[in-house]
Amino acid sequence: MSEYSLESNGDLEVRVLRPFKAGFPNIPQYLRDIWARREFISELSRADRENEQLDTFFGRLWNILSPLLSALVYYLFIFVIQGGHQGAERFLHLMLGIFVLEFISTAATRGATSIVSAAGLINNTQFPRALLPLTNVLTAWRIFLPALGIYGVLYLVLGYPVTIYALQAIPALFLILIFATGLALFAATAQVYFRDTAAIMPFLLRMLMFISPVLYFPEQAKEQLGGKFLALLNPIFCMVEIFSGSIVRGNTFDVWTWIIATSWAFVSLFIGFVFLVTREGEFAARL
Amino acid sequence: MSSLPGSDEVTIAVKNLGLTYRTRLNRTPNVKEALVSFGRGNKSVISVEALKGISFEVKHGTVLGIIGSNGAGKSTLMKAVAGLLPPTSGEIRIRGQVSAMLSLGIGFNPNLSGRQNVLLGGLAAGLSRAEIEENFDAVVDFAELHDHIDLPMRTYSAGMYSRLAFSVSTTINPEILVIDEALSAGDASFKEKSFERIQELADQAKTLLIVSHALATIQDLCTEVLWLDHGKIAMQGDPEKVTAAYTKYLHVGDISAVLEDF
Repeated sequence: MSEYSLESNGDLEVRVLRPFKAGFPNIPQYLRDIWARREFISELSRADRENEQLDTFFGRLWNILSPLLSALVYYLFIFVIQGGHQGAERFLHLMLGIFVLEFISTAATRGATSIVSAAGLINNTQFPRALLPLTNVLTAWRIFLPALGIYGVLYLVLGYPVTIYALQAIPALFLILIFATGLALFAATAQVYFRDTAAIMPFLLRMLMFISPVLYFPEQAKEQLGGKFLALLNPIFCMVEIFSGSIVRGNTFDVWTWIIATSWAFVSLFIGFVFLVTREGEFAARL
Repeated sequence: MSSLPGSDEVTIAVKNLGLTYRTRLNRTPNVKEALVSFGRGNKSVISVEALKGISFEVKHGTVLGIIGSNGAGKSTLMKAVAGLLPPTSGEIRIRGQVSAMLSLGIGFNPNLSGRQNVLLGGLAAGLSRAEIEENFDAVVDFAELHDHIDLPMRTYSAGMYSRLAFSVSTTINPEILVIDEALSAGDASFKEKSFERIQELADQAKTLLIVSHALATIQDLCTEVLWLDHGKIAMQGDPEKVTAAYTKYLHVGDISAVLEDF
């Protein structure tokens, strides 16, 4: 993908390909190109998923089956093995955290291989390379939404109260989406230079889960020495805290929690995007 | 900004194009090699100065053949014109949609069907779904893949791959078509068909850039030939003349001696 500008000349557009300015392509044009090709993202995501489910007996039913089974496993863990003394609150908090972490992890691990595995397309067609990891973010999102639906049903079945504060989960989810997008863009670019990225990814993501308020409540971590640092330095701590806390407990959060969550989300997007667009001029020579 | 330099007939104008890219010595970098080469202070990344300030113009209706030894910069030039590699210096002005067929048989995901690949390739190139669907039957007809279009592409033979790739890149109405070493694939009858298609496109005043080592093909198809040598233009002009000079160079091995004769 080259830096270029469009000029009109008669009925055909004229493109001018020039060196990148300070390593960057023309960003407004780049974003317009992404927007113009949004159907590619949706179509590739659909085709990938269809192809993966083609050989399975249950096929598309897995969209529902997989989060259901996951809920069953954790239900057994909390209510049967641990005797349920921590109650439905813990179960609902855990489930929500697991689904969110699975979303981030799916976006990042699939995103990591998206550019390297599309070498053929990259060597033949000019398009913004960011489309490839974005496709995987969409795929992860499409896997996540039915899980969230299942969660909603479970929530109501358990008879847990729904409060107006749950609405805070919407901006929190938006921040989680932004964060995951940045991570996917970063991992996809890193994989071009360092082919072990995709293999390391699952371990980093598991680590991320253990330092996030998923297996425990946020205040349990903050009581510990260093827990406050964790909230600051783990990029997704505050996002997950807000997302789960606002739904399960109807909590409100101080302005710092929101600021930290928002900052990390956009720092991730910024770093991932800049890393990709400043490198993508090389991809056709590297792959 | 101004229009293209020269006359309105010019579809590609390359000005002082320089292109240097960095690449790795080995194909799949991993930690061990990274650590070992880091420890030894080796540089595993090398810079390749593939094009060294070349300038030329191509008018519409031209079939431009590009010849030269391995490593002369032919493929890099094609990738630059197709917009896949940004110039390091200079600029390229292009009027109209470019369709490229650069690496044979790829550009496709082998697990998806031919139909899905055609759609996805078109969408990535910025075409609308309607444009692709409008031309879809013609693509399949030309590639003679009626029985296979809904099968995964991993079941295709190499010939089927290249027929589909050629059909896609020439059917969906590009103004400029860039083809790298792709004409040797396919059987004899498909080869004839693809030559006819190229002739048709040239008659419709499209612009074609063809890289090939088959000089007979170049002479048959091209109206003009560009000879690249070590990232510079050695000679440009009449196909007979340029291929004759190039052939002589291949025997003599001294470019300056050859160019004096022509």
